[in-house]
Parts: sequence; C-alpha cells; structure tokens
Amino acid sequence: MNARNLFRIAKKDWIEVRNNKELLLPLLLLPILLSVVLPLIFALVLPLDPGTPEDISNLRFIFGILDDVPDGGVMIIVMTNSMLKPYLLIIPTMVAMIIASDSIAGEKERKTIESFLVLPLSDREIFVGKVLGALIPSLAISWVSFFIMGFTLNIAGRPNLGNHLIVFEDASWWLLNSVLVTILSFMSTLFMVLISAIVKNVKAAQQYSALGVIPIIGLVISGVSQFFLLDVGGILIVSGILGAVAIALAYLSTKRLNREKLILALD
Amino acid sequence: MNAIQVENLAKIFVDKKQQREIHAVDGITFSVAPGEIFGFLGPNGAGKTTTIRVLAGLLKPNSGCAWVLGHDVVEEAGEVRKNIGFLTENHGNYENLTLEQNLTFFASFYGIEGKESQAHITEILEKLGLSDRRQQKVGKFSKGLKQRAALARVLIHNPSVLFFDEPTSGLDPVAAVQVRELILGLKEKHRTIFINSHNLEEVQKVCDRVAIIDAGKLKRIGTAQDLSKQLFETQVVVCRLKQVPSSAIIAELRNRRDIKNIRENGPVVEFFVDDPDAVTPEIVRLLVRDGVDVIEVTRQQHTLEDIYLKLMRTTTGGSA
Repeated sequence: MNARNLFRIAKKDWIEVRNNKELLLPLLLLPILLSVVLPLIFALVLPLDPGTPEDISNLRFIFGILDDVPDGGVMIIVMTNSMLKPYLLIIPTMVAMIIASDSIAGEKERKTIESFLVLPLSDREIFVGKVLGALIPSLAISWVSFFIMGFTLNIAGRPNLGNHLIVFEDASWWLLNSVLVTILSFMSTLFMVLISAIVKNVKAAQQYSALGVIPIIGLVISGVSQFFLLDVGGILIVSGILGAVAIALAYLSTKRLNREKLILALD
Repeated sequence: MNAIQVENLAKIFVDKKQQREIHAVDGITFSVAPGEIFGFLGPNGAGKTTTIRVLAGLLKPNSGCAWVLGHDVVEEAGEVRKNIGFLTENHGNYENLTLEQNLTFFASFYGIEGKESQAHITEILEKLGLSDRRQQKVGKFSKGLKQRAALARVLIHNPSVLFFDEPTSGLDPVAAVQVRELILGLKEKHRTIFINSHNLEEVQKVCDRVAIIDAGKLKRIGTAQDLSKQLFETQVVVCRLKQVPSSAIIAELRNRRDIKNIRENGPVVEFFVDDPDAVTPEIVRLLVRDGVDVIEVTRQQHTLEDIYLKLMRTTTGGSA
C-alpha cells in the first residue's frame, strides 16, 4: 500500500467537501451548536437555579465535586459530565458519516467513480484512502470542538467554578477524546463507507446515518438518569464494545469492497 | 504484439431477483493492432461497456483471457491501468474541483508530480485549447468543454492505449466534430484507440476497423468495406450519362453474367455487380461503344449504418 496515494485520495475528498456548501454547512453548524451554544447555555443558565441545598449536597457526593466549587457551578459540572460528554460524541459520528456518505456514494452519484477506479490503485488503497478522507477531518473537527467547548465552559462559567478548570482537569475527558472519539470516528466512517458502497446515491447513504446517533442518545439518557456514566470505566467499556464493532466492520469491508462490486452497484 | 488481444472472453452476471444468469459477454475473440482505431458497435445491452470494463481491469471475466499491451487484464490489472486512458461515457472529472486540481490529482497517481505535473498540464491544456479554463471549476463548463477536459485527464500520462466509451454522447454537432478531430489527431501519434459507440457515422469516420457485437456475441469484424462485401451480395456502380441509353445496350448489359441487375432512372443507371473492379471498365466501354457520353462513374458504398442494420435485422429476424 502506497501511503502517498492514500493521502492523495483523502486530500481530494476533503477539497471536494470544502467546495460543497451543502456538506460544509452541517459540518460547521453541528460543532458550533455542541461546542459553543450548548456550553454557553449550560454555563450561563444553570447557575441561575442551582437547586435545593440537599440536591446540591447529593450531587457533590455522586459526582465527587469538591466543596470549594460554588453551588452555582455544581449543576454546570453535573450537566457537563452527564449530558455534554455523550453529546460531544455526536460530532465524530456525524462528521464522519456526512463525509464518508459522500465519498463513495457521491462518486457514484456524480458519475466519477469509473474514472477514479481506473486509476492504478489497489482495492485496499481505494478503501483505506476513502476511510482516511473522512476519518482525518472527523478527528480534527472533534478535537477542535473539544477545546472550544472546554474554553467556552470555563470562560463563561468562571464566576461559578472557583479555582477549578472543568473538563481539562478531568482525565475522563482526555480519555474520551483520545480513545472513544477516535474509535467512534473510525467505526462511523467504516460503517458509512460500507453503506455508501452499496447504495446508489448520497441521500440513500445519509438515511443510514441516523442509525449512528441512536446509541449516543442512549448514552445521553443513561447519563442523565445516572444509569451509566461516561467516567473512565464507562469510557473504557464503551470503547471496547465499539472497538470490537469497528474491527468487525473493517473485516467486512476488506471482504466486501472491491472494484467489481463498486462497478456492479452502478448498473 | 497486438495492443489488445481478446480470446474467448466471457462475463456472466447473476440477476438475483430473477434468479438467472446474464451472459453479458459470450466468448468473444478479437485483436487490435498498435496504432489502430477500433470501433466496437452494438445496441444497448450488447456487452460493449462490459467488454471495455474487463479490458480496463475493472471487471474480472468468468472465462477467457485478454491482454492489453501484453499485460493480462486479470493478473496484471495494475499494469494495465497504468498504461491506459479510459474516457468514460460521463466525463468523469470532479465538478467541485478546478480543471488544474482535477489534472493534478489524476496525474499524481502516475508519478507525475510537482513541476513536471504543471508542465504536463500546461502542454495538454494548450493542445486542447483549455489554457484559459485552468483555474475554473469543471462544473461550470459546457458539455463540450467537459468532454475536452475529460480528454485532458485521459491523456495526462501519455497512455498508449485509449478506451473511449461513447465519446461524443450528448455533445452538440460542433463539439462532437472537435472531439472527433482530437481522436484523429491521436491516431497520428500512433495511439491505439478503442471506441465504444452507437454513433455509426462517427465510427465510420474515424475507425480503421469495426466489430459488431450483439447479445454478448461478436457478429462481424473487419473494415467497413470488408463487412460490406461479406454482407451484401452485390455492390452498386452508378453511371451518370449525358443521354438516356438505348434499350438495346441495356438489354446487352442485362445479359451479362457479371451484372446481377440494372436500375434505370433516366440518364442515371445503377448496375448491381459482384466485382465492381472487374466489371466497371467493361460497362463504360460498352456504353461508349454505343455512343453514350459517360459523365461520371461512382461506386456506391454501403455505409456502416447499412451494414449494422442488415446485421441487426438478421439477428432479430427482420424486426430491427
């Protein structure tokens, strides 16, 4: 496998996305909503009604929040950890799916797939190049969103957080971004590349992307109800499960994706 | 060595819905010489595109073999793809990318990069009259320009064998003529060109030889003249005369064994003959002997359309 070929494919796919406003807009709006708008609402609105002293005391105990955090900051920390953590996972999932759905299905729809497949590339280079084309932007956007979200929360929530830096001083957030986000991006990309190889157009491929959001909604609900929290242990469990799914998808992709199948799906 | 060699090539698809096999290409054999322009004709669904896709290493045949420039299209598909240019029915360039971005992308996979790539692009765009479009997005081009841009992509790595799938499909007459001239220009550079088309006039104008395929089987192969001889019992010699010939000379000509039929239309007389080279001087001599002034003698060629339609009528039992 020629690494330069892989990055050529990935670069071309990214330029195509960058030049396509219909794709670029959701890719920018979603991270802005989740990393700026939602944290601002949490940081500015939640301290207005921090709850009863008994509630605050319970939450400090459950979430291990130190006594030097003002009462107004307790709800920010609780909601950030129970809701924003899984919400942030929507970014790698959706970004990977939006780009990946356009990669092969888009080539079919715009009738460029044949001229692409006739290039002197191996089937594996085509597949890995297409995966990288969605994976790299997805990881980049997810990481940038993570930092923007952290800064937004800390700056807007400063009066209610005492001397604490939320998000950045919590190891589980770093684990979430370094491990879970990477695995989730990889899994979402593989899933969508597989789907987009089977379907004939981008719209059909994107209809499947809703499937990727369902487990994240489950994580949000379980986080809010405190049934399952994305702490270090929770992140490792979810990462393990998704990692196994990603490996299965990668195996399936190498078996299912080849030039002949891509060409036959055109007719 | 032939540029393209195909032996008993077959490709079968399985229609899962109807649970049946479709023999898209059914044991075809032919070869294309280096520098030849070869036309591949047939109705929709005849197996033309499947054949071109197998030759380009995009599909694997079920049986038979094919070689492009001596490389097996299955075992050495990578080598085949390195040495061919494939102009797909749709122009195949990325519309969201500029022409230069497209050409840089495609050239890079053939090891043409950096300054070499820029020089190549400049040269090819000049040749195709696209220099002023270099920084424009391909999506903004007219159909004719898109097809020329596609030609630039196909030629960027100087391939010696070119596959064109319906190269003038959907183009206006002016753009079609431009593409045709470009194809003829490539022949001068000794490129081997394989053209899939149902545009019979175009194929007749540019191709050295043609193959006619129907239902996956090769019906005929040869030059238009060869096929005309094979398919039509007689050839037509048309004589334009100054006077209407006498009934006596017409009767004498009718009695000749080498003239099958005569159709008179005033001073224009059509002679249906087996061997025009042998009989034409004799016809002229007899007419002149009878005092008839011969203004013009032409041989009416059967067009590729006549040949194609005759073949298709034979295949479909006269329904075509």
